[in-house]
Amino acid sequence: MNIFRAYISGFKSTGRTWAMPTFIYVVNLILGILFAIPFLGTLKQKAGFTMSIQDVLSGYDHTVFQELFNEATVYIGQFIRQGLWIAVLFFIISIFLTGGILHIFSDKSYPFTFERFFSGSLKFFLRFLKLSMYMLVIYLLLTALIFLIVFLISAGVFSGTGSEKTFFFIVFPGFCFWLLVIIFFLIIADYARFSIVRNDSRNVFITIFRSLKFVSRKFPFTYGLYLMLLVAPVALIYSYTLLSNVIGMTSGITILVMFLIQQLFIWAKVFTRVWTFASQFDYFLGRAF
Amino acid sequence: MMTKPIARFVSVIAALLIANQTIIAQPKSERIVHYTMKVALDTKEKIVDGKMDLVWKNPSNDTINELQFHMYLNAFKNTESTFMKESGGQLRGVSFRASDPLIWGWVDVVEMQTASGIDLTQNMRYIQPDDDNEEDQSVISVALEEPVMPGQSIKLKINFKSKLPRVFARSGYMDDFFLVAQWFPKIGVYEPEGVRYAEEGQWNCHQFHANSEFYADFGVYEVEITLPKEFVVGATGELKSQHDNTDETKTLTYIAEDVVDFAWTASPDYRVVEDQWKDVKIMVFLQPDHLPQAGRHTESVKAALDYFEKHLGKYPYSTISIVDPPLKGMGASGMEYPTFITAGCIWGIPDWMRFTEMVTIHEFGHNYFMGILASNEFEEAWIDEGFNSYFEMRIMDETYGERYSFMGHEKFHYGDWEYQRLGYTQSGNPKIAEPFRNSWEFKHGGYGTMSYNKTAIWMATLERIVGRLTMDEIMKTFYDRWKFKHPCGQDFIDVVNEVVTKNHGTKFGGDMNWFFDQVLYGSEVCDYKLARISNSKTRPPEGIHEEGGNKRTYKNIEYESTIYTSSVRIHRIGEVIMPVEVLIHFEDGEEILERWNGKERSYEFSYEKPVKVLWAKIDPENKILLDVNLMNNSLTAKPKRAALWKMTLKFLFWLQNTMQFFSIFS
Repeated sequence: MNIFRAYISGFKSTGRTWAMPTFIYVVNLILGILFAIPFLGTLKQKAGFTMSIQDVLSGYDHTVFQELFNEATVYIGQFIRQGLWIAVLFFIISIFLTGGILHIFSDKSYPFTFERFFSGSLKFFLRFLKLSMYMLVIYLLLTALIFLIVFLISAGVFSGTGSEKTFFFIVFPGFCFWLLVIIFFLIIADYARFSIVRNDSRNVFITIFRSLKFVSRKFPFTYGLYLMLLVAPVALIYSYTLLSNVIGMTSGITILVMFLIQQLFIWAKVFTRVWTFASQFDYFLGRAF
Repeated sequence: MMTKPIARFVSVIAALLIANQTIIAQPKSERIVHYTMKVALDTKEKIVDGKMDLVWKNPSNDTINELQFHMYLNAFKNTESTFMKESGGQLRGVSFRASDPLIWGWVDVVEMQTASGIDLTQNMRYIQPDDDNEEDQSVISVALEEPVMPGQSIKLKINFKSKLPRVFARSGYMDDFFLVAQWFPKIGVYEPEGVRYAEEGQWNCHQFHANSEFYADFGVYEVEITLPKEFVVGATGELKSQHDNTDETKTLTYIAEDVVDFAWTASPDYRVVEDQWKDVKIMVFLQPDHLPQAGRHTESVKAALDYFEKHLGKYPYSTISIVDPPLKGMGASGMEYPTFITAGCIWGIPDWMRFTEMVTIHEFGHNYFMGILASNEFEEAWIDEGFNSYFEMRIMDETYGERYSFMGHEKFHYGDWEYQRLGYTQSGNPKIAEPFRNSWEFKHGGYGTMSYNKTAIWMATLERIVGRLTMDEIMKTFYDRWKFKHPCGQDFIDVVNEVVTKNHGTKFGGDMNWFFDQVLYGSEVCDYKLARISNSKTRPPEGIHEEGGNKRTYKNIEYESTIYTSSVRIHRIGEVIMPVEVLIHFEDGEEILERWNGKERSYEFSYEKPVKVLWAKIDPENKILLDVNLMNNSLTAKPKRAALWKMTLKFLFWLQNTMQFFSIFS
């Protein structure tokens, strides 16, 4: 199967099993709401009856934000910290759910059912968890290595007569290179998961290496497919930015409209994530190792 | 080609022709000092070799038996100087690395003689008028063999050598970049009795501290600088002549009159952009990568020139030079010298981030506050920094928009007065000190917050209380009365009392001392809080009452319509007392503006009306910018929740996106 066909078939598969991305979106929303409600409560308590907060409606007001944060620093800081922990929790949950997603896509002759979905989630969770932990270490090591090189080059330039323009043209390409390398290893991680599901591989470490070989051998196609799949989320972000600039959140109606658009945006991002799995998995199945 | 002897002859003739030429026909100041210098910069050793003639006039009725000089560069001689001990070896976020020997700086008087040939070299000794640090060598005292009588002058011939430090605190070098400031033995200020706070004549010559800046008399500077010819030079004053020498050097001669200092810069990398504002020549010395940002410097300095002319006085000099230090030399950025300032910009910074404009306007403003109104920056940093920050606020907000002047992006913006106010109110401890304090006595912090931010904000508060017209008259009177002199804080307060009383009578009391006692001499904060709004139906009277000597029960009384007893309560949380306005808004749209003297801890306004109070706001026109908490200045009985929902839904959206981002790695 070529990458263009995989791109389309992945979209179709995801569309047919729309309940899956919707379910993931609902989990995302529930976790978010669990924190948003006490956040609203704190805001009401700290600033609910002051007129100053109304200035926030018409747009950004730096003084109001600074004073509100100063007034409620302890609480808002707590929410942000807890929010980050929630993101970590969602990361674990995502690992769990990925097993279900790939289990469904591994055999499309069976219809989507939550029973099948969760059985896949359970079956592959521990291996996927191990895989994700190994990959996290790899990402960190890569980041450290690349930015160490960037830092050493920058330091060498700085000991001379380098200007900030020079630094930018060292750091920015370094950052771009880092991004491209990280994407490469994200693809390796995805194909390792496909291998675990399709071949029921037990040895995660060896699966990563085999995936590395596969992705490298098919580099233009695996990387090209991933870049194609990135177009949709990038377009989503751009569209959202345009819409939010046009509509704003300056009244009850526009706040409600933007809330709905925001949730649609989140759902669509989850959809594209599942679509990414579906398309790559289809390509993998067509070129299985 | 000119031979060496001929070239030397020509340069001597040129020097003779230039010497004692003046630019400004009528002196603007008393011209206590006259420096004539010939200096050469060794760009490899980072040393300035100098010969200077100094004429100093005794401005007092006292007989002067000693002279005192600032030796500022000795602050960078070693870790034992007062400056280095107080700063911990760092200033403005830049650190000194002690391991490199070339980084240290110093200044030596090699020889000092009077014009009549009396050698004073052995009469010099280091003194420490501020602390007991005998290692500090930033001030010398020179005992005179013959006193200087009142009104008379002494002429000195001084040979000196200045080793420039690697720049981290305003002055020094970085590779081939030189910012040469506070670089020569500079005579201190002798304050006669009655000048500033002097109860008797005294030398006012402080050591160089980490938090202090400078103080000097007005005078004339004629400076001849010789350095390698590939260096581009900028300096205080006007360039009178320039010629190449046969040894691959060049010599430039500058003259500056009625100034308190002389600084200069040199670098082979500068790109110079020139512009003109009326009769003032603007020169911007830019790093090559920053050339596209020349307009940000010229346009902002022109806005400042316009504004100061309109509100204070015309800029009295013919030049203004703006220096853009390189990245590694940023320790020299953001500093002021007469007709010569250092700004600073960063390549690629977008137009809506106006650091460059703010610094340019601020440093230019110092030509007025500290350059023309030559206050003592050691003892009263709040005058030059605070007054200048106040004008910076006005100029930035008027030029670029009140809520957009500092950061001007639609999604993220704030103005200069917000920046100044939050710099004070959101500092770790706004009560840490009072602004009226010697600069080196801010031992645990607060120098910047008190001198810059708080002073600017109380100036703005004063303006909003007495009105812009009165404030402008105050500043103009202060400027006209004290320009080219050494004003002190009391001089300013006297002007305020005079003008406010003239314009407003006793509206604010007999004088404004109550204001300064709190904001300048005190460290307490101002915080008024709208504590409570209550509305309750007025009940008819009940119970027993006397009627014709008999006890009667009140009959059932019904009012024709519902009457509400409403009250609006205000608390004074802070210690500072300010006259306060409170706007009360009723349900039917009626508004009442109440005034309260702000003195009691709690005060209440009460009403009986057929409508309820809907909301109330303390200081609706934001006059009291000193109030450290504007959030508690208002209350509403019927809050609109839309804003809270907006913030909550944005938080939710952020959280969901963060979760989704993390899931990419799953």
